Amino acid sequence: MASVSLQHIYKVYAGGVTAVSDFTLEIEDKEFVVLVGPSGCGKSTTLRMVAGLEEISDGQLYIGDKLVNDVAPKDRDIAMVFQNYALYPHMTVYDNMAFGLKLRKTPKAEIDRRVKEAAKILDIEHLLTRKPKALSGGQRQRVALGRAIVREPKVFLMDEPLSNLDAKLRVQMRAEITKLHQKLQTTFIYVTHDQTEAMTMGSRIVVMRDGFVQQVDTPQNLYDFPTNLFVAGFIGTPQMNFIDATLERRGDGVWALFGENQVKVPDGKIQKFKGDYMGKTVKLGVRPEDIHDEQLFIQNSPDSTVSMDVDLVELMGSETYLYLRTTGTDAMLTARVDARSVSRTGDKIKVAFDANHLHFFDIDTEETILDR
Amino acid sequence: MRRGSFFAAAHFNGFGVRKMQNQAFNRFLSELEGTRLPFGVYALSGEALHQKDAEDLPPALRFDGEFARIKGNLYAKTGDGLILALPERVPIAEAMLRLALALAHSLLGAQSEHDGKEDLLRQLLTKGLNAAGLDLLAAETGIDPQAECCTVLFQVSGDADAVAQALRETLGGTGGGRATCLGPDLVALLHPMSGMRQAELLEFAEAFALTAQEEAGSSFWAGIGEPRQGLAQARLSFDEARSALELGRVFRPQQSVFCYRNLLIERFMGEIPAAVAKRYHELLFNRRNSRVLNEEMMKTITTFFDCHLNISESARQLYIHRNTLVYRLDKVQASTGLDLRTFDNAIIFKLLFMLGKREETM
Repeated sequence: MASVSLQHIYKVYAGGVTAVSDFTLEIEDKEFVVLVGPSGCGKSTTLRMVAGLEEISDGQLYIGDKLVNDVAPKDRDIAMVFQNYALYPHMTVYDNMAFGLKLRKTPKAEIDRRVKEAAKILDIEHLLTRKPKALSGGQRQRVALGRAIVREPKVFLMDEPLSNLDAKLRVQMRAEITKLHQKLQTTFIYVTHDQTEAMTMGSRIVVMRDGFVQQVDTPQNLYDFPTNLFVAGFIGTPQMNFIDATLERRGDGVWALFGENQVKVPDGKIQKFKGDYMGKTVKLGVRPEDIHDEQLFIQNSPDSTVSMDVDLVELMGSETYLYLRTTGTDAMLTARVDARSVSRTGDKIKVAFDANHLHFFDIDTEETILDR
Repeated sequence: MRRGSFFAAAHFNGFGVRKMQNQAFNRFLSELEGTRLPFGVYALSGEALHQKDAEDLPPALRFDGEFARIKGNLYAKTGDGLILALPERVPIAEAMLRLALALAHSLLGAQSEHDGKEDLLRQLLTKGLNAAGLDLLAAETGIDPQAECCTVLFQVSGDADAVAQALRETLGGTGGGRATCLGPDLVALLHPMSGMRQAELLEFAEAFALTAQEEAGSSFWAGIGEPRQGLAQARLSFDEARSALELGRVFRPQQSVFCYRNLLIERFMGEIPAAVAKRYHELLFNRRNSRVLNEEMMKTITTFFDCHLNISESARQLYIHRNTLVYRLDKVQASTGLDLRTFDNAIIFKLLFMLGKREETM
């Protein structure tokens, strides 16, 4: 078990392309950190630098107290699990799990202990004598995890390990990996482009874009206090709605105006503004679940009620998505409302924003203008 | 003189030379020196291995019969891939060169006979073996000469010897596969199929790639040839494995294991003459389209193709709005005339794009 410290890490390829810029992060011992971002954002490159599979162009990488920039992968005391979980077809599950240890000349008794222990953790003891062709996708992925566990590494590195599995199995394995982390009490660094995976698994999440770290925080903080427009849009499904709105002070408070609509900004929010944005246009962010069409909510929120045209209604079973168009602007909004909603396509309806959960961003810098 | 660093002239079409210490070669050089004649010894690549007063090896030697004669020098080729040279001014130069050839045959040929089964395997794959050689190889390796065999060629960024050794340890139990080092970065595996499917060999290669990565931190690629009936045909399988490796690295840089069988379109691309490839590539990738087909747009298009022309999934992976993706595709259509949302146009774009990749790297 060990901490991992990445200090001003850069990855610049021969052609001058910078894949990772100034990546700095302290990962505590036993933490489960998830790197997330769209394809090409540098998350896998960062993980491969930790693994030693990519050279670090600049910066320092420590595992525990040891500087490992120039340490070979096998000497870094890490174990990797990749998207591709190829197993040796001629070996049994036991031999596949034991193989890395055999290459390292680990004593037989020790190999046996570790393989059986890992098999027990993963609940695959009954599969040890089987060959890979007799295993399902999920079982094969478990064996791949087992191959990493038997090494008893200080740090587990996982690069999109679930992306080859079908949707149902992915959900199941997601929970398995979280449980595994709790059982092993080891540092995990996990890469995914799937924000649901990131939110459900990580104790901390690193959101990346174009090689830069955008925000490092707990899942809840990322959701509640996104530091910029990118993070706000990336985290959450359906994604946060953004509207260009002008802030105006009127007699009884501050209002955000857009099209023919206006929403009163709560005093608590105004006190958190980082600068003077009165009279200026900002990006107003509202999550789909913070838009309500229930009559009771609308009656209780007269200052944040707006008129919308319903473009489309999607029934999801447990909930309903309303695709809305605001009167007087081109802004399209998505609302996640109760499954019993009576709104129908073509209706002109009133909805109310939960004003306490509004977000505001600078229109130029795209950074949040709210202090926490 | 360059003793002890004999780069044997065994060339594998651009893959590099096999480095090996060779006592027999050093002895051969000693014997040549003993003659006090200005012999030159070269690898086929033109590298001078021993050059006393002889000149540099001319770039294009043409042998008419036994010898080549250029600029007052006499050249002859040994059976072991060496070129010997002697100035024509030396008395009885032809006879002396024939003596040197006989000496090379005697010393280096005898050495190669003793190189054992690894060398036989190497020879089988790179040059082919005669019937006697095949029998000897079969006897020494235990591979049935009539068995169906498949070749895998591994290329590693690290130490090939260590990888070959790891491969031998891994092979225990696969049914008699044999591995041999072919160069500083190349390892070949000859594997009898004996009921094994090629897909299993592919999985084996992928699993081994992971092992090599984990244990040695090596970047690792593998090409897999077609299974061929009988040891005598193994060379064909080796050529296919080599071709798969070369083509795969050019056309599928995101993968590490390539099966010759699965590279049909890439093989076709590889055989198109360079000038034709360039002409067709430039029909699309020209100055007029260069502003639209920039780095970001190419990433968008590649992701769109990877997602099997699925707009929603591509937009999700690129983290752009669906309408942004549609707008970008419209822009490509306006500039190139190709609507990438249709299969026919997408395939035209993909093929012309691939022709350029070939041009860049081959």
